[in-house]
Amino acid sequence: MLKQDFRSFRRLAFSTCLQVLLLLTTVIVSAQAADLPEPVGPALLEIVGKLEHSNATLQINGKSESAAVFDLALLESLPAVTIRTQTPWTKGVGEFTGVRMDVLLERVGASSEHLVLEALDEYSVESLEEPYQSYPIVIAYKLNGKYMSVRELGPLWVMYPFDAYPELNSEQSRAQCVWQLRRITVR
Amino acid sequence: MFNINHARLELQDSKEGAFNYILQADRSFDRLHLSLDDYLDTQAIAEKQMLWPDLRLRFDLIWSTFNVFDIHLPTSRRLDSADRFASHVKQFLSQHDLLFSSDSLPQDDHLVVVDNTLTELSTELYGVGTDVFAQFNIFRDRISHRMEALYRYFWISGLMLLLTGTALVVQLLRLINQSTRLYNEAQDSESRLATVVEELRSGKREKKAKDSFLAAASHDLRQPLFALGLFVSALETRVTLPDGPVILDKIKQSTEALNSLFNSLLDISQLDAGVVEIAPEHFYCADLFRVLDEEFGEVAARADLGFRIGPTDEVVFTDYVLLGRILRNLIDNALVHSNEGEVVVSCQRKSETVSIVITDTGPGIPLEEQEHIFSEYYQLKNPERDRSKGLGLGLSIVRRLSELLDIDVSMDSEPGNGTRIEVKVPAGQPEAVELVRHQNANIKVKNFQGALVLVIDDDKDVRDAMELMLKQVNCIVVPAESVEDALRVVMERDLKPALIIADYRLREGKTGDAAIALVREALNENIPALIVTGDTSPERVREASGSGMLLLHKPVEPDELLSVIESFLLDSNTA
Repeated sequence: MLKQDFRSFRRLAFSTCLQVLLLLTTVIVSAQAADLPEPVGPALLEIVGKLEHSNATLQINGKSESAAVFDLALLESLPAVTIRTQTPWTKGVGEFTGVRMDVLLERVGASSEHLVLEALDEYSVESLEEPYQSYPIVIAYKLNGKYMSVRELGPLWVMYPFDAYPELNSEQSRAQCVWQLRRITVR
Repeated sequence: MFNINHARLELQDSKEGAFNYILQADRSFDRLHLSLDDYLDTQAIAEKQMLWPDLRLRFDLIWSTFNVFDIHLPTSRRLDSADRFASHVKQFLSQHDLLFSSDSLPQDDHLVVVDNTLTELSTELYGVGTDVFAQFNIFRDRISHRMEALYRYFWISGLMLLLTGTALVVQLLRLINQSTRLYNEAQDSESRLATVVEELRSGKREKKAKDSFLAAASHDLRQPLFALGLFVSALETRVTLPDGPVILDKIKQSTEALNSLFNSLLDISQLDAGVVEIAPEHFYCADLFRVLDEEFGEVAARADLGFRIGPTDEVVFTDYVLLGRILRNLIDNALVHSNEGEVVVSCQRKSETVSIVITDTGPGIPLEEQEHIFSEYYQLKNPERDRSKGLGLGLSIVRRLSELLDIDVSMDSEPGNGTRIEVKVPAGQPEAVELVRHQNANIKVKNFQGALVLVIDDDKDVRDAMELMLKQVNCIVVPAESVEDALRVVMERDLKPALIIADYRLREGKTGDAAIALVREALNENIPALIVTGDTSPERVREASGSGMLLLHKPVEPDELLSVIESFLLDSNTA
């Protein structure tokens, strides 16, 4: 049974990879968003779905959607916070610096906090019920003061303050910590 | 338990980590593989140029995957295949790092090599996955085995516990049952014991034995005693020897003593049996005193002693007869023990009680003996137990009677100064006294007050014995040896008998009922009559019964005869 599962996972992996190729071939069409500056450097994060402020139109799965696209400069222009916590994936206490999720969502005028988070490696997860107002959850672009490469699980990493809030130490919360974050869809 | 925990920990530690490791690695290999295929399929340089960053990203993602897992499979138990795989991955990454770091497009040949290596790594990862799941199964089997053992253990011990518990409960219930029964039995025997102890303490047992003996004895003793009395009386006229009357007199005295002793013995047994009924009443002491004076005056004079009873007009409230018995015993005692001087009875009112004081001039009683004299068979100055001085029952009767009547009897005595006995009787009310009650009430012996009894019997001995006996109860006896004789006597002396006693078989074939009928006819009155017969032949008995008159069989017991006579006389009196 388990072996079969394992094989089906492989098959699933192949099919999702095809989708990835499609996504990667989407062309970013510049579009002037209301008051969100256009990104200048390489795009790190796309926010799509129900949002008020956008600065681009993206072709996603053949449909064109208005999106908020962030480069590093744009992210760093938002107020930065640092949380210090241990994680299962890093050694010792890590110092994660980035933008608070709720701040970011407010910045793009997201109509809800019901999100789907997607990563470069096709990992995706639905957000939990409204944790972002209650806890300082960040989209980190620096670990221990240094930007993160893809090999180091960068460039963006969603991080929960596990040490400060022990109640967050759950399998569900850990699944929310998406590394190599690429896209947020607001439902 | 330790083994289970250990296995579970192992499983917990390795499961998710290993699973993620394999999944992530496989997916990243696949993606690079697909991208490589796309790239190699493409011939146009421009398109290759466009696909190249994607290939580089794919390579970085593989790198990042193994960065997260630190190359090695995250299990607590090392797998050889996983270790080999890790080293191959490391080799792969470092070998091609340079190739993928470059912005310029590499040669397709190199990428084919990469692709082949990737395929090998994928196959190897599949082997690692198989091993890992095999290991999981081992863990799981071990756990389930342990759990099964544990389950069996719990099941068996639970069953044992249940059985033991049931057995214990059953035992407990049985014990409770048993102890309840024991408790009840104990209570039963305790109450029985208490009854026995109570009986023993109150002397009931002892008394019961004594009483039953006395009750049995009294019937058998009374008969010969009474007969003895009759025969002694009958003997009187027949003794002709010079000193005969003197001896006979002594015999009579002894018989009287025997009678009185026996009576007091019976008194005691009656008192102990609790059959004496108390009838308290208001009466003048003087009434009782008068009777006592008559009784004891003569006795005292004979003993050369003075006897005085003081005048009194006090009224007491108690049982007349029983108080009389108390005083008689005390006075008798005083007279017996006084050799000279006098015995004085006086009466005095003290608030709620009337105290009757009896003083004598006897030798007195030493203090240490005073408490003993009220017990049975205790006698002072009679170590040789001279029977003529009585059995020593007098004062014990006094004690019983005073307890029965709730009368206080106290003694004040000193050797050489005589004895003073005080009897404290509850005072009565003069207005409650019934005047004519005690004229003759103290006469316990049957007294038919001169009733005339006609005795018809052809046997002179029987006539004489009957006469003797009836005289004792104050009857006037008219003896007749035949019907003619009877008729003659009655007519000549103009007598009117209150009762006729006739023998059934008379001379010349005459019968008793015929004789009675003749007498009744002559006197023209239905005089009460009874027939005595010695005949036990069925015909005679039927004949006699047919007469319709009361029939007594010889030998007639004096008691029986007396009670029958009494009933007849009482009937005729009330009639």
